[in-house]
Amino acid sequence: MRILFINNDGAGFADYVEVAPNTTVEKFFSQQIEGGKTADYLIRVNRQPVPRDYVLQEGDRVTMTPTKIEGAVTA
Amino acid sequence: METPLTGRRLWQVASAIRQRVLVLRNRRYVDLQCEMQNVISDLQDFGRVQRNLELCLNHGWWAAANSVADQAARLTRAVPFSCQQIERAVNARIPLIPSIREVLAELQETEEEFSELRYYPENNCLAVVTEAIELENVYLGEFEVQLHIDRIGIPQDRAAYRVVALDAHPAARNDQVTHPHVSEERLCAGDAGAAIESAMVSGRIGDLFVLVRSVLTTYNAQSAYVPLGDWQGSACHDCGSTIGGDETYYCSSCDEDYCSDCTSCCTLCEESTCLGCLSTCPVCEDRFCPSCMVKCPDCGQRICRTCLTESKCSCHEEEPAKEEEDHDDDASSARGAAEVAGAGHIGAGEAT
Repeated sequence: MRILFINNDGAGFADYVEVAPNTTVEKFFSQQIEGGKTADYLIRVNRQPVPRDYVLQEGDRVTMTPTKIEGAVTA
Repeated sequence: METPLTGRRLWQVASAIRQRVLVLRNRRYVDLQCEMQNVISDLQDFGRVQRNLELCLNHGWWAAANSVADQAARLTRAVPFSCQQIERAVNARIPLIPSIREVLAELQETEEEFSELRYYPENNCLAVVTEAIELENVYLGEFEVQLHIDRIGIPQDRAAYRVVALDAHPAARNDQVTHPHVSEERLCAGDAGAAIESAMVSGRIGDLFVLVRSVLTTYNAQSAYVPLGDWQGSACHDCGSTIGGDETYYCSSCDEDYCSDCTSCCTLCEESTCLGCLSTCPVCEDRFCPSCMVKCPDCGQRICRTCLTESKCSCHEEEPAKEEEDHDDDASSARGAAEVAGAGHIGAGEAT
C-alpha cells in the first residue's frame, strides 16, 4: 500500500512510499530514520498524534519532524 | 495589526500560499528554458569558432588559429556544464502542489500546535509564538516566528521568515543577537536549512514553523553567534570582572578580551592592547604592542620602531660619545705634543 511520507529530517522531502500491510508507525519510523529515537521526533499521521502501535493505512499522510536541530552561524 | 484568522480571511491566506507554491513550480520551467537557451548559444558559438578556424587555416594565420583553438577549448567546458544544469533542472523533485483545503488543514494544524496563529494583513504575514525558551540556564524568552507569504521561495531573499524576540534578552556583547542562532531577526538554520526551504516551497507552513522551533530550542555551541557561556558578557582575562559588548577590548596580541582598566593603546599603531602585552621602550619610555617593538640590529636591545628608525638606540648614542672621547684624547695628545714641543723650546731656550 502507498502512503505519503514527509521526512523533515535532512532535505525534508515529501513523497509517496510503499509500505507493507500491518506496518506500525514505530516500525515505519525505524525503517526510515536509521538510529533515530521516536522521542526526538514529532510524528503525526494525518496531522494528528498517534500511538506507536498505530497501523498505517492506505493513503495515510505521515510527517516526521526532529524536535532538536542544530543551528549554525552560516546557513 | 494582528487580525483573527478565521472564515473568509483564513481562506484568502490559504489561497495566497497555494498561489505562491504554484508560481514557484512554474518558475522551474522558466529556469529550464534559460538553461536550454545557454546550450543553444554555446553551440552557435562553436559554429562561429569553426568558421574562424577555417579562415585561419586558409590564410596560414597560425597565431590567430592558436587563439581560436583556445576559444574552442573554453566552449568544450561550457557546454557540458550547461547540459548538467538542464539535467539537474529536469530531475529536480517537483514539489507536491497542495489544494486549498490541504493548506487550510496545514494552518489549522499549526494553530493547534502553537495554540495561536497570528496574521498581520498589512504585510501579509503569518506568525506563531514559541514558548519561553531557556537554553543551558540562559533565559532567552518567547520568540515570534513570522512568515511573509509574498516572499515565499524568493531565493535571494532570506527574509521570508523572521524570528523576533518578544521579550528580548540579547547577548551582552551584541544586542542584535537575541538567540545563539538568531542575529538581526534572521535564523541561521544550520541542519534544518534544506528542510525549512522544502517545507516553504511546498506550502507546508506548519512544518516550517515546527522546524524553526526545533532549531530555537537546540543549542549548537560549535556554531553560535555568541556562545551561551558569554551571553551575560565575558570575563576580563586579566582582572576577571564581567564585561559587556561596549566595554570589551580585544587584544590581538594574546587573542583575549579585557576590560578598559586592563587595556591601553599602542603609542605607534594605536591598537588596543592589554597591559600584559604592552612593553615600554627603554629609549622614549612610551608603551608599545609586541609588533611595534623590534630588536636593535646592533646591540639586540628591544626598542620601538620609531626609535630604531631615528637611530635613537642607546648603542648609537655611545659612538659619538666615544668619538668625542677619542677626539678629546687626540686634543689632549696634541696639547701634550705642543706642550712637549713648547717644553722643548723652552727647554731649548733654556738650553740656549
